Amino acid sequence: MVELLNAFLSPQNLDLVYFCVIGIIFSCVISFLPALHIYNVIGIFLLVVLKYEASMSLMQLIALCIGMIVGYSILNTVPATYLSPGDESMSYYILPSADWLAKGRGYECVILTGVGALGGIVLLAVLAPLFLVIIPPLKTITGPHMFWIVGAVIAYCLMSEWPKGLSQYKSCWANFWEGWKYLLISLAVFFLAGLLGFIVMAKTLVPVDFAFQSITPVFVGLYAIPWLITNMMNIGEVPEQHEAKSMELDWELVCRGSFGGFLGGFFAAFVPIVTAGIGGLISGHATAQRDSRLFVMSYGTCKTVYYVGSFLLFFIPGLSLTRGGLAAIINPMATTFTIKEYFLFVALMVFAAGLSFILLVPFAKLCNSLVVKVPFQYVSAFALCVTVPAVFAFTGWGGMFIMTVATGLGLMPVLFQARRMNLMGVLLLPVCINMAGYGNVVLKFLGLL
Amino acid sequence: METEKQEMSREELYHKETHCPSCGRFVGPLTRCPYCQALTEKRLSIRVFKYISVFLSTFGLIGLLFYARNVKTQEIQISQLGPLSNFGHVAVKGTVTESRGLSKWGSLSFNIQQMGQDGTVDVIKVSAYNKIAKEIASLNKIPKNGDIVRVEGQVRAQNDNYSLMINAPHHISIEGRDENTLIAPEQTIPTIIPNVELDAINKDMINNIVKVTGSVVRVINTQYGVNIILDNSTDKGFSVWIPKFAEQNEKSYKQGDLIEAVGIVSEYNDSLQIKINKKDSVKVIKSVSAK
Repeated sequence: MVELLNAFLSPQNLDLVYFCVIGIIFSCVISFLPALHIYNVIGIFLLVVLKYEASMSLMQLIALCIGMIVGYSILNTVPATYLSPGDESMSYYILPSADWLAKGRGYECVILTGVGALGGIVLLAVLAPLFLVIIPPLKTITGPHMFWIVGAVIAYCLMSEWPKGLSQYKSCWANFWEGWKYLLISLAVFFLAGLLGFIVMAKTLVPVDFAFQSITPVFVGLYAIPWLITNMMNIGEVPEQHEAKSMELDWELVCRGSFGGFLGGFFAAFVPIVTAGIGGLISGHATAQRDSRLFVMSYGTCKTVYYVGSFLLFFIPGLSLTRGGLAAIINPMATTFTIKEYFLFVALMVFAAGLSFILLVPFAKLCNSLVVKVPFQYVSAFALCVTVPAVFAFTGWGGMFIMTVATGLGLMPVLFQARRMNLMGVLLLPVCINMAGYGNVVLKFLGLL
Repeated sequence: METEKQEMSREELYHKETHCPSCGRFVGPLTRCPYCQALTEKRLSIRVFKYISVFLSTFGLIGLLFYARNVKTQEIQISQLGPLSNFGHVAVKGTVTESRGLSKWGSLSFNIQQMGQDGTVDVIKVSAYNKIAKEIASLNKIPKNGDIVRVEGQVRAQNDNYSLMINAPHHISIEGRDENTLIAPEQTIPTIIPNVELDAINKDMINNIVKVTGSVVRVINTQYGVNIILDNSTDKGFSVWIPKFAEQNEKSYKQGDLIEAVGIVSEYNDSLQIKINKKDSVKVIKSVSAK
């Protein structure tokens, strides 16, 4: 403990605190715009830094990334809540956050998610010493089995989709079709996304200088642009938001929400390709969550534990566990980390989480008043005007082609009442098949080899 | 129709879009009322984007597949590779300098080198896993030293090292022989600077091979190798990095051992270190346990 404090308070490490703060402020700025994912922003940032040979040591870069990732995982709740109002004429799914926003409780939702995120950071910090002991053998044990674990996750995602057709017909086949049409859309979305994943992984269709982020146009197309387009088509309204002075929260709820979210977030952080959404779904079912407050809170925990936890695991000395997009971005530059650097990461993570939560309150209050004055459709249109040229600038026509196709795929689940989670087939399917050793067979069949 | 919609208040429009025009019951996003089967058509923008999404997801994806099949893999210079090229699928042409053939595990690896524009020599390691390596061997395409080869593969960047992973046997082709291999490996090895004091090592000595002696303060075992911290009268100590490939079979270094190391001076995390590049370059002169 004394050693940790000495390391953290040593003047030679204060520059890391400075870079961490810069990262948090940066994440706050980008959180104003929906659709900008931190991984893409860090990717572009690195491109600029390395191109202009800006002098920044590896640990300074890592401190900046910690600030960005922790800040993003907490502050991103604001646009995700205020700029995603539900529209029941278009979507089958209305998330609790959209429901709360419609009831004027957006601020409450943001703060509750923030509390969940803080709970996740506290759990990560407390368990950090234990990770040093349990993660290395866990990696060794699960390593040979990972392909079927990912396969089981795929099966769970597909099988937890349910029939949404409500009409009843006299004809048996008409009823069969009514039951299966939405399930077939889910399956189609999953396998088409998987095909897109195979194409993108087999060939570099973006400039080689941007190959480390060749997945960027895919994710912008699958998630960001459909979000913006559906926002622009959205006819739902954001009512006057209430700035709550207190929260309906007790310790039992905090513990249950944080625990459930931590399970999902940690599973997502440890198992390759699984994201916070999938981890959250599985843990939500496993812990039988019903209360919408519990959902909102555990979502905050799950998201933060996934983003920050996957990066934290990367720092376990001698383990080389590359999980999550940020670890993959940093990996080519990083070398072996020491225990000191690992705990320095933990200290910076706790510091960043505290500062981000302090920023969350005024940020949410600002958006509370802005959201009724500035229509979210305009904000989305502006974000679209920023995102598309940015993707073109960095990935060229190849990236634009990928992004356009991915946009079509990304719109399908929203407009045809399937779950967006099926879009993760873009990584789940190729990675699972590659892990099983049949990747080349599929690529040969597709003529990509 | 659109004018009519504009005249409607937002609330009315929302109600119209989410309720059945025939029985008035809530239908949400459904286009056919589940109670009375009446058609509850949605607004034009939703209908248009539904068609667009189906078109892009099917014909767009097929188009992308054919585009990807026909796109030619970009041939690049080794010097062009950097951390940002990680995961890129590229082609490299060069002369094989260190062909290690098939390993006992069946994998294939060799180094190829290119002469850079500024006269420098760039080298990259190329490898293939067991299954692909066997197919390459069956096609008699395992390259020998001096062969000029063109290889296609995925860039792997880790710990500032770059390598190329071959994914298919036809991604390697032998295009000729270079009898005068660009630089003979012997010529690149500089002479060893003997008996250098640890505190005398400075940035001017980077890339020089030095022989040092020091007392072990700490030993850090990692997945990539062993980091031995030697006493140089500072809190931090001086690092001797032994990568996995250069580890001795007997690697029992203990705190207090006096060791002799021969390696290349390099920079890591703003600090200087000695990087060991071959086996048996670290010797324990005086062991604590022997006392």
